[in-house]
Parts: sequence; C-alpha cells; structure tokens
Amino acid sequence: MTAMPEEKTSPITVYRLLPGRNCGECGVPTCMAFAFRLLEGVSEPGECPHLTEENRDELLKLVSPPVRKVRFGKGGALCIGGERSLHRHVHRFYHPTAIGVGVKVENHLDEAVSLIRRIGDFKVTVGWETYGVDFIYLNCSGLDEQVLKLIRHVDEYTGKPMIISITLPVVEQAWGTLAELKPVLCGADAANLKEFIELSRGVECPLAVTSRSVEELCRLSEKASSQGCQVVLNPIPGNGLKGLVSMLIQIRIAALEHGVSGLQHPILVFPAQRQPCSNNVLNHGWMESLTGAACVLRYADALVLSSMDWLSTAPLYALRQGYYSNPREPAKVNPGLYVLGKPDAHSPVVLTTNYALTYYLVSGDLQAGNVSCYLVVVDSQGMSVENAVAGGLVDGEIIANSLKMVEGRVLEKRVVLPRGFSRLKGEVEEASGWRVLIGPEDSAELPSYLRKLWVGEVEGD
Amino acid sequence: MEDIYEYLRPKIKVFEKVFEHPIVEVSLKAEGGGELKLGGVRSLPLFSTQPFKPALALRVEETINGYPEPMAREYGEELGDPVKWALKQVDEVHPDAFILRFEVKEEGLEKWASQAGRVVKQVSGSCGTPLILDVDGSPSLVGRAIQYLSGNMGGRGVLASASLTSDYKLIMESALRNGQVVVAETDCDPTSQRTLNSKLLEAGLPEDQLLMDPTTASLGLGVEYSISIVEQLRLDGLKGDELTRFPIAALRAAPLSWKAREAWMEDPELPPPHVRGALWEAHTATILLLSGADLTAITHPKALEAVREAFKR
Repeated sequence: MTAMPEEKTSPITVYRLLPGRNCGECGVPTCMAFAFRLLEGVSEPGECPHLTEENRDELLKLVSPPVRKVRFGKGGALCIGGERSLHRHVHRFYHPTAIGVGVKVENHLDEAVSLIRRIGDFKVTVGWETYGVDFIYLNCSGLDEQVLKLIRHVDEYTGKPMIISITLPVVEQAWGTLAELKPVLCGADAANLKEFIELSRGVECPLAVTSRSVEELCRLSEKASSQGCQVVLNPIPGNGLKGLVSMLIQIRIAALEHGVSGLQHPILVFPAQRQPCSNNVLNHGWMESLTGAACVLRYADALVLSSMDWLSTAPLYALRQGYYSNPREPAKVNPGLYVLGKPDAHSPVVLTTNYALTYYLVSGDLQAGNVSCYLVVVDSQGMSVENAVAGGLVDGEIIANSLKMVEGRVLEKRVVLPRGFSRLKGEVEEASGWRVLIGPEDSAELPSYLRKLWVGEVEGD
Repeated sequence: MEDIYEYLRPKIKVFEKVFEHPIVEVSLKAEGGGELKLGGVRSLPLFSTQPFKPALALRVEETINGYPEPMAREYGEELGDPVKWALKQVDEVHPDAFILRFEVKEEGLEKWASQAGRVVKQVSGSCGTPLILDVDGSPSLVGRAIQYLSGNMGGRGVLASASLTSDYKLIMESALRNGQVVVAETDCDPTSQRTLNSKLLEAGLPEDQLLMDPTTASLGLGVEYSISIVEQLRLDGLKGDELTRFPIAALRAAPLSWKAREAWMEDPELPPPHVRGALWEAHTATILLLSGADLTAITHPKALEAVREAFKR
C-alpha cells in the first residue's frame, strides 16, 4: 500500500537514503535537489547510479506515485498513469490522457486496413501543436493468422502503440508478435481472468480488466497484479456521462485518498458506450466528444473514441493541452523582441504577453495577415493579458522597459497594446515616452487594423 | 458463472469526498413565481452520491451585433429582436434561466435606456424563468445602467457585472432595494474574488444573495485557469471559508469560446464556424459545470441542448 496523502514524505527522509556525494551524475547538482525531484515525480530512483539496492527499494516505496505507471507499445513507447493528485492546483498531472481510436476487425480485413491507414495519417492542430492519435484500439473477436497480419500492419504502417481486445485462445504464432509490440490486452473479466493472466504474463503485456462495478474491478485487478501482471482498469458502467464520470472519480478517490491498492492503476474508458441520444438535432459525435472531455477532466488515463474526426477529437486535445501542463510553470515563450517578416524603420510595433497561447495566437494572426512588424513580447511570467493585469504582473514600468528593445529601430515611437492593457495606457506613455494605441479586441483583426494605421508600411516580404 | 474471487475481499464501500460545510443556497426567482435554486451541495460534482443538476442559462444579446459573427450569419434577423428570440427559445430549448446582455454607451443614453428598459420588462415578465441582467460598457456607466434597468424586473432575478472596477456598490444597492441576487465577477484570481465578496458582504449584502463568477477563460483560451479557479474556490468554500462558500455562476467563459481560433478560423476542411463555435461552447460549459460551477451561460441554443443532453444520464 502506498503512503496516504496526509502522511507526506519529507525531502529529508528521502535525502537520508541518498549517497550524499553530490556527484551530479543524476543530472542535478546536489542530492538534496535530487530528493526534491524524486518527490515531485520528475526523477526516478534509478537515475542515481550510486544507490544500494536496499535504499533503492526503500526509495521506490517512498516516492512511487500512488497510481502506477503502465507503459505499452513497442519498447514501452506510451506511458499512462503515474498520477498523484485529484486536482492540478494541488499537485500537477504528469501523463496526459492517451487518446486512441477504435477499429472493429471483422471479416473484411481490407476495410480495416484502409481505416487504419487513415487513422495513422490523421492530424489535428489545436493551440500551438499538431497531434495524431496516441494509439489504435483493435476490437478483434479472435486472434487468428489474419488478425495477426493486421496487427503487424498497424505497427508497420502507423508505428502506433495498440490496445487489443480479444477472445481467447490466441493462435500460438501470435505470442512472439504480442511480446514484441506490447499492446494492452483487453477483454479480461471475472469469467476468463485466469486464462488472461497466463497470456499477459507469458507475453509480458499489460492486462486491462473490465467490469461494471468498482468492487469487482478491484478484485480482478488485485488478482492480476498479485500474479505479476501490469494492470489497467476498464470500467464500463454503461449509463451515460454521469455514470461513467462518477465511476472514474470513485476509483481515483479510492486510489489516492484511501490507498486501495487494487484501484491504484491507470484507467481506460470508452466514452461512446451506450450513449443513446434522444435528440435528432445533435449527432452522436457531440455526445461522445462531451463525454470524452469529461473523462479527460476526471482522471481517464486512456480513452478510445469510436470515430476520428475534427469534431470529436479537437476539443479533447485542446483541453488536454492546457489541463496537463504544469500550473506552476505556465506555458510560456521567451520574452524579447520578435521580428516578423521584413520590417523597417516605418513598420508597426505590437506588444503582447509571453503566455504561449497568447503569443502563438498573436504572431500567428500577424503572419497569416502577411504583416511585417516588430512584436515585443513582455515578460508576464507566462500569464495571459487579463491575468497579467489582474495579478499586477505587468505595469507601465515593465512595459516601458521592454519597449527599449525596439528603440532605434523605428522612427516613430508608437506601439499597439492589447485591449486588455487599456488601463495601463497612461502609465506606459508616461514611463516610456511612447504613444500608446489600443489594438482590436481580437488579434485576428490586427492585420487590417495595422494596415489602416500604417498605410503602405505593413506588407510582408 | 459463479464469482470465484468473491471470498478474497470484504465489500468495498462507495468512495466519496463529502465535506462538512455546504455551499450557501441561493434562490434565483422569476417573475410569476418560478424559482431556480443554486448551491446547497457538500461535494464537487459527482464526487459524492449527491444529485448533480447543473443549471443552464441562455445568453440573449440586446442587438444582433452582440452575437458571435458565425451565429449572427446562421440565424440572421431573428436575433435582432431579443424578446422574440428569448420567447422562441423558451419553447424550443427551455433554458433554466436567461442572461440578458446590454452594451451601454454615453451616446444616446436616454433613448437606449428606455428601449432597454422595455426589453428587460418584457423578457422578465414573459419568460417564466429567472433573468440575469448583464451590462457591458465603461465602468462609470455600468452601475447606473443596472440601477435603472433593475427596477423593471418585478423585484426578481439577478444583477451581474459587479466587479472591482465597476461601481459594484451601486449594483448592490439596487439588488438590496429590489430583493435581487448579485454576481461578483473577477478574473481567474482567488484573491480578488475574496476581496470583492468581502466588500459586498461588509456593505450589507445577505449571504443568500451572492453568486460569484471567477471564470474568464474558455476552451482553447486557457480553460485550465478557469477549471483550477473554480475547483479551488469550491473546495475552499466546502472547507468552511466564509468568503468563498457561494454558488458559482460561470457567465463569461462559455460565450467566450467563440473567440478561440479553433472556433472561428476559416478552413474549408473543417466543419463551418457556427458548428465549431457551438461545439466549443458546449465543451467549455460541460467542463466548468463538472469542475464545480453551478450555473453556466451559453449563447448558442444547440450548445445548450447538447449540454443538457450530456448530463441527462
């Protein structure tokens, strides 16, 4: 059983188990710093080359996250679980919910092949990044030679990790492939657990146990992990968003606050399961997408979507991108002067914050509008415009200082500030001697706004 | 088949996270007797077996220009008449409440006021659900506009727009005079939310007439800030913090979704912007309701329907 949250391990306890040589071979200069990193969950005991075996085991017990990590895919490419907290403001989340798409493998393997190719090539861009699916879920009835060929194809064509739902037994030829590709094996329930445990141990693949009740999930998982399997929990309450989300929450509360070891495993969910939609206006994809977002918010470590299109995936990636970032280190870019296009002494000067999303939106809009200008990125400590003002992170003085970077590059001292900075206008003008213009509400309107004010001076290269 | 592992463990109980101090119950009243109760909960949504019934308010703009452009294009002139639009939505998507949003300007103030007053009176009097009044504009005008308009709600409903930069005292006085509820708005910052709440309470606003809106960020625009702030304030309130134990009305986050690039950008390969905007709004609303908001405003009726549908079961 892992330590309960209230019995917080102190860095000193961890430090005492370290060699104390401050050799720096783990990548941080001192053993004390390493102790903090262990507790934060960013370093692992194995990174210290001078630990005695005894101390390493002791450390593992002390610093392992309550929710175990499970790696799957070739070489353990994808890691899920490893979480320590119910709320990101208490302790950050580590491993973003893995998002996969399901393929039903029936008689027509050709269809499955073309679908798999499309899934492998699928891309969606949200915020500042482009994503593909993290894994592919194959729903196979049996595992014969045909299906085995398909599994190999998924690996060769997409290189994606897999979760495979099968019924036993599997053909003997499959064992080598499974052992190599390390998919999560799905389909174990109370009736066939023993056989699945044998297979999972034999091919060293994680095992997903499935049940409608938290209680049974716990029993199945304890049995499987006591025999050496890596376990994934697959709850299937079968009654809509609220039923599914309550079950996820129950499992995670049990794991983190009650130390129930049988539930200290990553969770795999299918947001589309039995989600009848009583309203024709709304298509099925919306319900699956909303349920999926609820699962990303509430502790699903992997989720399988029934289809792959922009509407069902993009919102989930957008949520995941921010929600799994470290709240103590907001996504930020380096403050400084960014030169867009080929500006000259007559070009506009635009100012924004160094919150990554704000920066990428503003610079993206300027580039899309083919604008040449100087973009001054002020250090707002990674906060968005509104939050920077509300938190007093940016003031007239700070803005005046960052404007010095562009001094001498333009003839006329006038700068466009984000609308959220309007109330700093006077302060900035006084502190910097620059004339302040307040930009449009939406950065998408920046190019046309600038074109009006800097007639003939904003065209890109 | 017989469960062979039954003997392995004693029964597991239901794992809940319930707190001692319930959130203050606030009742939003409608003209004609309708009522919507927020608060009273003792856990985060679905963290206990307590029922979870989030409230959905449809946001109605004074003019068509107030709507996101793709939505204005989708519905056209229909949106130009706020009273007609609201009544139509009562029949079609029956929201739990309406939020009526005005923009006030110095120019033509008197004419605007009498027109706006009529709209408030009609929506409040004929919709049968609580009305939330929300005015945008320069801080010096907002308080006065609310003061004026709030008299047209039959002593019912909710007054939003009370913020540290607006004339929150004037708004509060109107609420006290009419027996209305106040929404204290801050920008994703627990300290300023506490400050504003404490100023309102100290000035005499009863606890059961206070709602808070700390949400300013939507999906694609830093929704994680809104999630964390809602969770933080709700947990503090449940632990007994007297300055944060009020229901949360997320009035601003979901409608802001239309500003996310994913919603508006022109891209022929993606679904049309009005669909993406509505979807984005539905997501922001769903996420914030699950994080602890008791009520959320939504602009697009289909987004409202989708959220209701999602929470049905």
